[in-house]
Amino acid sequence: MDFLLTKGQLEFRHRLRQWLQSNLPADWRNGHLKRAVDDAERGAILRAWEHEVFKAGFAGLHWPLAYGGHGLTLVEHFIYGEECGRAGAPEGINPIGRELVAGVLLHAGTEVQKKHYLPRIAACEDIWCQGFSEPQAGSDLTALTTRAVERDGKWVINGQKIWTSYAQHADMCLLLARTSAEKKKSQGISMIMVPMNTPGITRRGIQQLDGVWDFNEVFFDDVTVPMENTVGPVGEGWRVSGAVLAIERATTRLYRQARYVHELQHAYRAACARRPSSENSDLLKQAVTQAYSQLLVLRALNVRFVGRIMAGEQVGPEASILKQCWSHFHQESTSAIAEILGEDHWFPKDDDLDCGRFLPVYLHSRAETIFAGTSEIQKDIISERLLEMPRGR
Amino acid sequence: MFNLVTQEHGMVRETVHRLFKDLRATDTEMRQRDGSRIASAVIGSALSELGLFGTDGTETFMVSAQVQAIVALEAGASALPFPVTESLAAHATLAKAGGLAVVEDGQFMTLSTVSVDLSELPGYQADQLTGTGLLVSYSQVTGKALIEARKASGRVVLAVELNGAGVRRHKRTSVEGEYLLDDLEFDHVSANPLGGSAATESDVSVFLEQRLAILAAAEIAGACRSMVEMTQEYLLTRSQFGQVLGANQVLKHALADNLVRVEAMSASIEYAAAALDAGAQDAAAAATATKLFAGRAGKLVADSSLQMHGAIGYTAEYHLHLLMRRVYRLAYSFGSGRVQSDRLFEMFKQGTSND
Repeated sequence: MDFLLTKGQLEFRHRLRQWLQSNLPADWRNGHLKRAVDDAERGAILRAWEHEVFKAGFAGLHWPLAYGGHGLTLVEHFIYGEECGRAGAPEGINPIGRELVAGVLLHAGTEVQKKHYLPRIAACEDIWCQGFSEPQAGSDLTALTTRAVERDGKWVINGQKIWTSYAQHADMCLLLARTSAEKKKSQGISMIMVPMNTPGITRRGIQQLDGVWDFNEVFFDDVTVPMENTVGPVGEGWRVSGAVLAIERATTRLYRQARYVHELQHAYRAACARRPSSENSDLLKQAVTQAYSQLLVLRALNVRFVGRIMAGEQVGPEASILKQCWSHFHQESTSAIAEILGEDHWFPKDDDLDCGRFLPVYLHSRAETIFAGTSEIQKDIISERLLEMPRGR
Repeated sequence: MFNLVTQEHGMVRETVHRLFKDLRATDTEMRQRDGSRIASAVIGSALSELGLFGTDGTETFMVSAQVQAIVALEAGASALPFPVTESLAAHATLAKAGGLAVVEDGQFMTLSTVSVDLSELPGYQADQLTGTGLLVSYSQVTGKALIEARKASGRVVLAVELNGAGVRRHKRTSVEGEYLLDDLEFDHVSANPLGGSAATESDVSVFLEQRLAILAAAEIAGACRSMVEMTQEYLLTRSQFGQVLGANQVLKHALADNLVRVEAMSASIEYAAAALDAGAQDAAAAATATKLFAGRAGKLVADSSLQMHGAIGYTAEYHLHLLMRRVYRLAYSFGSGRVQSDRLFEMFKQGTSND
């Protein structure tokens, strides 16, 4: 990709690469923490990491200077993500703040909101969670029933959210709530920023099948929040969130193919170290090249999206194409890794080959076709909005 | 800098798109009238008039990988009986080797399949070619070909006259039956290698293989794009059980999958073409991955497009099978999946060992 970068961008990449080589957290190797920690310590380590990234000048790269950013472009953001993937660096604890909330605020926030919240996100002073899904409103998000009623100049919120990742660490919640009853379900929804230490908020963790406790239920009982915490016009939260969801699909995995290649290369080295004859195995070769070719295609697709966004094009339903590719290609890559490693994948030994990295990655990858909009929803979007097929609902 | 396709490229695309649309309309009319096809010479002349086979070697834009990929994509969308990938790649290779004068203005060249094992190439020794060049398209129409051969030092690309003594044609059966393919048997035919001061023989061979990989992938992508469009129209017009077929989620989802494959292919082709034109370090990996992906994904698009059409898609009269056959042929030409996979594996290992 060097031929696409300016001299300044090449220098930025070099500086970042050197910084990453010297500053990964202690006990961090091959993309994960080498010692067992509980969820609280894990959160603390990742928060500290994000703060180090901020201090080193690599946070908010493409945000305006006025809001605590560095005024660079999406290309530097892309480079940052690629280099972190290449180094297997931590992914942090605040992706929702950095990649969703920041985008929403830049798109629809007031000046006061941008000036207050964006610098705090950059410095990882506020960790964010996303209060969108509910028990009866997952793919059908407009079926949400959490209510926010105006009383004495404040919102009073009652309801329940589910699948709220990172709520256990979060300082703030970006919430979708119904603020009026309208004819269409997508109308009358507002987007509200809720401090997680507000009285009336209860959180209950949900363990994921990969053992991690990042999911949560969050209950709101007469939670009172200033009206100024509304993002965008009242009642237009669905439109604002539409922009969030498109941003999520187009940019939050922009750079991840480098991380996936890192995983594949590690698996290959481990397989050959364990069984040197693996290198001549047709099964291994086919598994590697099928996965690797798709990851290179994914990178080209990301380059195309970066180019379009840089040219000022709005990203709409086309973002679903990108989401389909990164989620499915990663699943196929983790499946290929499972084939390459065999027993070492499912029953990993605790040795220098560090094959214990891969099982959690495999299990997490199974969720990638579910979160940020299931593959079925993406196919509905692609077929209905890009191919003009009739809506089925 | 991330804008790989410029306004100028867009203008080329529009012009070529219109041209192929007109040529396809003529071809369709002929097929419907009496089953005949448009003559390849007509297509060749039309492309030549666009300046795609000029002898002015200074026009680097028109022989760039990006422009040629745009042409190949539009050609693939039409699946007409003309060796677009071969003729474009041959022309670009001649330009690279500094030998454009070999082709007269308005003519085009074809070539033998490349990216096969060395043992499958004809031999070149003492300025003479002996052995068989495989799967040469339209050799009787062009009269000139680039033939990849094997010599002691490795691969070499030769410019060969096909209508002289010592050349015998053996017709090959092909999945794309109307696409003329022959194996050419050479019996001590004089030929000159491409390469010299402009580029080494090895550079020329690599250049040709990479260019063919990209252009074949582009034709596949174009054919797939057409299949998606045909299927879209079919699902929106054909009704059963009181609703159009496209109202069925299983069908519209399958179509969505195909659109994703086409977009992924075309993004990969654009990137690889830009990388090749820039001489980028990752150009070889990009080109190889692109061909490997396009071959596999293209076949999935072809197979599923037929499924979504049902019986009508299975008829010879319906245009779909022409596009399917084009994809099947190209997926296994100019470096099949096995060959590209072997190459990409070596590049992957190098990347691993450099970490």
